Amino acid sequence: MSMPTPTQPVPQSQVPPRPRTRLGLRRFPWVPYLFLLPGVAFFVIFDYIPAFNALYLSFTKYHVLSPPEWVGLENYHDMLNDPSFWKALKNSFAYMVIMVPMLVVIPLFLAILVNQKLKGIHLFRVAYYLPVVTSMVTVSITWNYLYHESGLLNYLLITLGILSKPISWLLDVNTAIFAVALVESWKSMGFYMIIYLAGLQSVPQDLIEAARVDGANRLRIIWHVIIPMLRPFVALCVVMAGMGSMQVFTSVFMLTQGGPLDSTTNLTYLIYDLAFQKLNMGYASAVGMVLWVILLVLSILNFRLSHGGERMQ
Amino acid sequence: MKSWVSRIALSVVLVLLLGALAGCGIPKNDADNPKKSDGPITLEFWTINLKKDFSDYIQGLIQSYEKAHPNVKIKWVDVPGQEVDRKLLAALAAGEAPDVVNLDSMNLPKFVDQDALAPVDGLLQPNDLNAYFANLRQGLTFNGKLMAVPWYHAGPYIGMINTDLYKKAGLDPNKPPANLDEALQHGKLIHQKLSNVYGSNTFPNIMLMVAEGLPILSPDKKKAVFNSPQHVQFVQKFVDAYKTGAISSGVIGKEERSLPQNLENEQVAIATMQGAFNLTKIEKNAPNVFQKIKVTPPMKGKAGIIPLKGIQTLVVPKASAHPKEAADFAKFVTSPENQLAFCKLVPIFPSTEQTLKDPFFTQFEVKTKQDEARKIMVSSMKEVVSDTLGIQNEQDLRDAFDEEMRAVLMGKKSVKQGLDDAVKKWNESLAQSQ
Repeated sequence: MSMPTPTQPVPQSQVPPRPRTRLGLRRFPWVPYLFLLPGVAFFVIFDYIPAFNALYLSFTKYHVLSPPEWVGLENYHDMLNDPSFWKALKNSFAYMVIMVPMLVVIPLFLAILVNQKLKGIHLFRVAYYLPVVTSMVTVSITWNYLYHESGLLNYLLITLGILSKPISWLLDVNTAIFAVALVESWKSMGFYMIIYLAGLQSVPQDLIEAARVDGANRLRIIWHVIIPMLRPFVALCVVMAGMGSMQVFTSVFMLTQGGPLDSTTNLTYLIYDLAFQKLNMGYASAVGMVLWVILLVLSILNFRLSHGGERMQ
Repeated sequence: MKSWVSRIALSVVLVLLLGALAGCGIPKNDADNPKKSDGPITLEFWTINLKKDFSDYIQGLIQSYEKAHPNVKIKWVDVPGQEVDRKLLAALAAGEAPDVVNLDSMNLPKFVDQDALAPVDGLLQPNDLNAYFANLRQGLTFNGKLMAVPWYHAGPYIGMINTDLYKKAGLDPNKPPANLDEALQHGKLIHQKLSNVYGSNTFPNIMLMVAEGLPILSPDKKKAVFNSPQHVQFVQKFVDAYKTGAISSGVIGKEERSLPQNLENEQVAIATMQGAFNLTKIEKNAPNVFQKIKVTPPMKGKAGIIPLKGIQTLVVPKASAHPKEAADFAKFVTSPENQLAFCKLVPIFPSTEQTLKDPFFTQFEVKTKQDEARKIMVSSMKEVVSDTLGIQNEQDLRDAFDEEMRAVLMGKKSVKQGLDDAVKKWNESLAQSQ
């Protein structure tokens, strides 16, 4: 198709949809890439180079103050024989098993709750979202008091007759990981609620109306109309919660420091401990690579599911 | 699926390529090649958290030194307390080493293990070094070399009891526990009478074993020896105490500073070995509890010594361009006169014997609990022994020991098993470091 010359009058309907710049994108097709450069440079410098450097370091013995010494697969071999690594890996998946259902199911109901057209409902939305923007350090310190042997949680449970004596939630190997996972989940619920809320507001009202006309009650509408329509959002939340639960760190650092008896140590905390407490950067990088592979798999899953979501739209 | 495989393969190739490139960027250790300069010397001096309250004092020191040494300029950098080891590590790794660094003695082994510090006995004269307490120097000596100049510290431990809880438990507050057995016995009685109060937060660690005169290492420091029947018996006391409430249920927590039961919340009645700064902390945070606190001498073990957990030191990184001048400045900062002036500003203790002989420490009126504590601390300075063993990976090994003791207290392992497992870990590490 030939383009009209400027001297020829152009009917409005024939104006090409893409705006033209003074530079002229056709003459300089690389111009848009210039705009991408700062972002790409930022990613390369602060994300990719450190990540690739970590991969290289995972094949070395490196204690920061002397140059890395190439040891091949020794760190990976040590890792396979290290009970601390296996325990941390198991705990990382345990966090996932505990946190994913909490971050997928509860926010869905919170979203349905705050999607009502009620006076002052914005206040509730803000209230549920507030923990998301609160510092994890602050949240951990507050929950530390709640979990205290003479704290509010024990007081309530004893008052309600659920417990007969107080529990040291963070010092008991049987409860510590659940206690940490609860804090993490509580803080993130508002974020997942917002995702569901966006999904809920995109559900066609006529479908809901049609179900209502057919005699469906509120529960049936949720179960048979709303939840199926939210399937892509549920899938997205599952993957994001899975990735988030793999990267739990601040709460472990603040509440338990990996204890008691490493029962809350996950891969992220183990990497921190190996790298910055024990200065064993090579080995820490090898553990980091395992975490990277797990997150890569989850990212691919996320990518595919979100594409699936687009197809469903 | 095929496209995914090719993308991942491409990523791996890129990763290896960039990894190799990035590896080239890691700075080489220039510890053996210090920078040389012909002009006036600038020494970079790092302190920990002193700028806010002691800026005038430090600036005064710097001005005096610069006046006496016109060819030297001091660049003062104040670093937040919890970050100094990481910042120093980063500076050394980047080849930007400071010249004089204030380092807590607990952080010292990490840098000694990395061969990052210059021995100060190679930089200062023996006469200069004799000015410092021998028992403090001993704790800073690794493989026969003094690795840091001792500076100030919080003083020897003191003991504290809550007189109110003592009375409620039917005990005499004028007869505080004199040793570990008494402390555990008092704790047991207190918990029997007052169910929500525990005895103390005393934990069976290496420091207490040393204080009890139980050996930790073989004389050549090649083997750990803390799993004898005497050691088992010692730890068993704590297991029994844990069950009876003579030590608190939260003592198994990892972070000592935030143990759930403590003197401030009156859930613990006895502190056998506490830094005197805790007294001020209680006064500030829980003034009503402070009224009930009685200051006592610290618990001495059977060895008759008082362990000192951490002191502030000055170190000279090997990578310093001017190690001799740096050591001279460190000597100036820690001179008896300058330490005395510092001690008059804040309740700290000096590392030089001469400073402690000043009337400021020997002749003062005992009016407050802090004064009582100070009197006890001055009198026990000679019994103090630094709490370091001088082995590689010491902090990691101590952490591993504590973790085994936690498992023992929680009933996950027998005492013998816990000690055997800890000995095994220590011996593996000791064998590697030889």
